[in-house]
Amino acid sequence: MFPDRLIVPEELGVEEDAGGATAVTFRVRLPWYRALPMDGLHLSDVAFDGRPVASDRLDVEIDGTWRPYEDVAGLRDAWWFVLDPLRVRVRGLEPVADGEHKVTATVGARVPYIVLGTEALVIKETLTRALPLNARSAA
Amino acid sequence: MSRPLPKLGVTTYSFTPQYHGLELSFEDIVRRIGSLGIGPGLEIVGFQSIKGFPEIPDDFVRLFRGLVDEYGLEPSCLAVNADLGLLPDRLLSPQEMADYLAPQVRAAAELGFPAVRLQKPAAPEAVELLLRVAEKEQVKMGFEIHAPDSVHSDWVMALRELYARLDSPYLGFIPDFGSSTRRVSPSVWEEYRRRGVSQEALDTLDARWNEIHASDQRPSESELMGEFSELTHSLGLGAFAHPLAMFCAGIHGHQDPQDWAEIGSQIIHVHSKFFGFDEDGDEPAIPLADLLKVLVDAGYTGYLSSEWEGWHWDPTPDAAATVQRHHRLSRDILESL
Repeated sequence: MFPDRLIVPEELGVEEDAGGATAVTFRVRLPWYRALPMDGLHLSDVAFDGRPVASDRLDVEIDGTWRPYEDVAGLRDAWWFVLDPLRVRVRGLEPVADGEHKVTATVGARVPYIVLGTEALVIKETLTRALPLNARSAA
Repeated sequence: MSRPLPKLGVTTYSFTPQYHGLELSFEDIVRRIGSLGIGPGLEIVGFQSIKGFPEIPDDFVRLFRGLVDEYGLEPSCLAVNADLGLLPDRLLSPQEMADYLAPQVRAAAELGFPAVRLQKPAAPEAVELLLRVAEKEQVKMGFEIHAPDSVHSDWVMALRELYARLDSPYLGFIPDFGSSTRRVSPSVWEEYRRRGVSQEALDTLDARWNEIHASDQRPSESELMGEFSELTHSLGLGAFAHPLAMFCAGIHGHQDPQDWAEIGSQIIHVHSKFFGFDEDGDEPAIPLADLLKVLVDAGYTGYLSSEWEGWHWDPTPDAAATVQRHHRLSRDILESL
């Protein structure tokens, strides 16, 4: 649903991560019409400038706190509200130059009221979008 | 003497593209509904419109009640969700489902809704457990019958038996007119033609849908989805395969409009589904005149919640304008009955 909106068209955030490498942040939208459980968040096929990013290099910001993406499945009672973009952080990058960078992501979530057999449907959308980076303004 | 007629209304779900796109807030949508006169019935989706649902922040209650009073709107139905797959590792038990739905029913009462929309995954056992909450809160519970299901689907038949046993005025059904279509909306084919799908592929899908419709066979949801998925993939439709299969199998149903009469006295609310209009202002996929006649003949005087869902394939039209057209069509038909 609404795949063209999946990655918010705005400047990339950039920061230095704990290991001295570069991290970038961008925001994604829930590709569904209602709030869904956050523990059903699905992120895959993330790539930065065409280079694949493993899921253990992804964080998401939930209620103001950064969490490793791989820990989100263990969260309870957290919801992704339909209007709230979710900020994603990609860690472990080489220094990133100013200019446009291509971000790819598959984003989805478990839809708990559509159950096929014994499993709830997981909806997913994929988008690649060029996002600008201006390190001076991002810092 | 003219017969009492159903009342018009709208669900804010019709505005999903503009709401999700952050063009219209919930308040903007209700103000548009009120100022354009496309109520008075007002239906909302709890998990869409209210952050933190089923908890209702005090400021939302004030906002909602204030808007309803300001525009003379009438809360018709709160769409709640039976999230059977809420947990990542197992399905909810009937007791857990009843416990999950109870605060949603209470939320309806708090906001002044006389009814909630329930969904298929809430098992009959859960509904039986929940009934005392509905009776205490004086909120009717209606199961939505949505394409490709019909009044004869197994789970609906099980509920009809349960209702006969419990005999409560707080139990009923909510027909979604998408269960009773007469063809796949031409707007689907127009949109995918525009996106570059071949006419031959679209004709193949259309022909198969019409073949099923003309036959006596009523395949289940999974059978329909399986068949149309296979067909769209075999036609090489790539990224369009899944949505087109879903639109053919899951949004355009085959039930005879007359069959709603079987549950006529148990209809507590209606999703008057529509997708688009032809040049004459008619809805080519939904036999609205037939459907409204069945409801009026059954004595239904509740709300017809106009639910525009053509946005699934074309989100660009203005939702308010499409609902206005649908109200004009609905009003013309009702006046002619």
